[in-house]
Amino acid sequence: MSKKKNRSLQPPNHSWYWNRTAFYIGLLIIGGMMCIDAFPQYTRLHGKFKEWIDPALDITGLWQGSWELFAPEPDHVNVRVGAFLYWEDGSKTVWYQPDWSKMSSWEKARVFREMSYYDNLWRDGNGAAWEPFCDDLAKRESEDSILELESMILFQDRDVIPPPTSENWRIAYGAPDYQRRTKLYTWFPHE
Amino acid sequence: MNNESSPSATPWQQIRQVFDLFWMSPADLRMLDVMRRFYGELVIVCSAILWLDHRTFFGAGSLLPADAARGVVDPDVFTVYSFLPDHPLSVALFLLLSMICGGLLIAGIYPRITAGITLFLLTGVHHSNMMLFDAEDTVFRLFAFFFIFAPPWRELKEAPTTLSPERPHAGFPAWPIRLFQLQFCLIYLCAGIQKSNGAEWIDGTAVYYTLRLDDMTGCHLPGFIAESLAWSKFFTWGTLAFELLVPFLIWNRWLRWPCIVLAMLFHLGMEYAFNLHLFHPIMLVGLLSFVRYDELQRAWKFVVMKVTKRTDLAEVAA
Repeated sequence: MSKKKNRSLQPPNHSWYWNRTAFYIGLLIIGGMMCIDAFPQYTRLHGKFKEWIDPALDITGLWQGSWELFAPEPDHVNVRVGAFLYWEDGSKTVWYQPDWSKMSSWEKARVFREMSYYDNLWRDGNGAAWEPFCDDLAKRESEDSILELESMILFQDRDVIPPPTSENWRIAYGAPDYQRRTKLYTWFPHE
Repeated sequence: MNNESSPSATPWQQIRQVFDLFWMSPADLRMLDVMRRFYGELVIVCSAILWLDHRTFFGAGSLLPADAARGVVDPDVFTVYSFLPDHPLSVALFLLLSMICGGLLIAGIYPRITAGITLFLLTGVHHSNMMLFDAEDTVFRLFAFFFIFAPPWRELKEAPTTLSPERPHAGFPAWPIRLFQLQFCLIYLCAGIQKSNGAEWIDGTAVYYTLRLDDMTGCHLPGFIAESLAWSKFFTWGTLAFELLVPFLIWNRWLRWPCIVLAMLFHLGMEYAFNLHLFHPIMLVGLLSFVRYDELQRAWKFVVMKVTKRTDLAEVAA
């Protein structure tokens, strides 16, 4: 009892924190991997190192990418995802994602994740998401319709912001001016 | 322990000593507890906002069920569906546990274990729909990892900040807070290096473009700023200079506070002008690692003094 009491009165020892060998080995391995992952890649050898360490960082959740943050070039394209819906009576309707330019900053803050989703949806690397997206859209659009949906074409509209010259100057916070349309995916109903 | 480098030491020995001093000198880590509380609050906010949309974005019947989620993420990773069925409630459970962990971090209950669990939960949720997440979420995960090494408040408040020969391990070395400081600098430095390779960052038009992206903009800047190329150049080059210089200058004792104030203004300004969710708040938590706890205490006492209209600082302290 008295032994226990004495121990509790003494300030604790934090020798674990002072173990230089353990800390420096951990720093070398984990810190080294994190730095390799974070620094921009300029050489092929760096790329090889990144490939080697990738599984370890993925499993531990410590991957961080190259911190591009609007770099090397900031986005200068507004993209809108849309879909043509073809109905069984031969009619065609069009659907577009929400118009962010008409939202207040509070509304934008609320739908931030939705914005991220649409900002990634049109990218080729995320093609696996197109079918479930179309399934969901078909379900939503068919809810209030007595007609069956026959097919759907998913597309993206692009608005490339021109360089700031006196002729091409774009007003800030304005609605995008979509000029180019590209097909992403054709959807058909499935069981 | 003699931390002074002796005049006869070789350059290599001197480098080793400086390196060792950087990581292992005794330090006051109480600021980690303040950071942990703010971090816990942000985890709750972040998870609660995601919770509102969990049926839309996660699990069977959502925009990205488990099979499709596997198609947009690296195959090495684990997701929520590695442990639980493909259902929105699986992610909801992870988010609920994240919120509980946020609460435990604020309360300081088993904070190291809680930080480890938070890392696991956040990683699982992020990998379950990679299309929703970006840089801020990476910072959340990394900070959770670093908080695994942050001692609890009851140990921090009693720890001496100088080495005593009788009890050399009674205090803490600096490395747990150095991890945050270095990560904070690493983010800026890497972003600055990347930006320095971009034509728009060099010619000063990068901010012009970002103010014309429909999803990126937040509150509107006045017209004389948003419609001026001169201001665009000022902010573009200012950002580039900030990101390349602050990671180095913030370590200088004379420039530390100017850098902290500059970084704070930078993040608050960006928070106002751009829609980047919790990126700036979480970076401000990282910035706190450069503030000393006694400085924060003094600032707090000053605020209390002003609010309560007391004149004696000692009286406020009492």
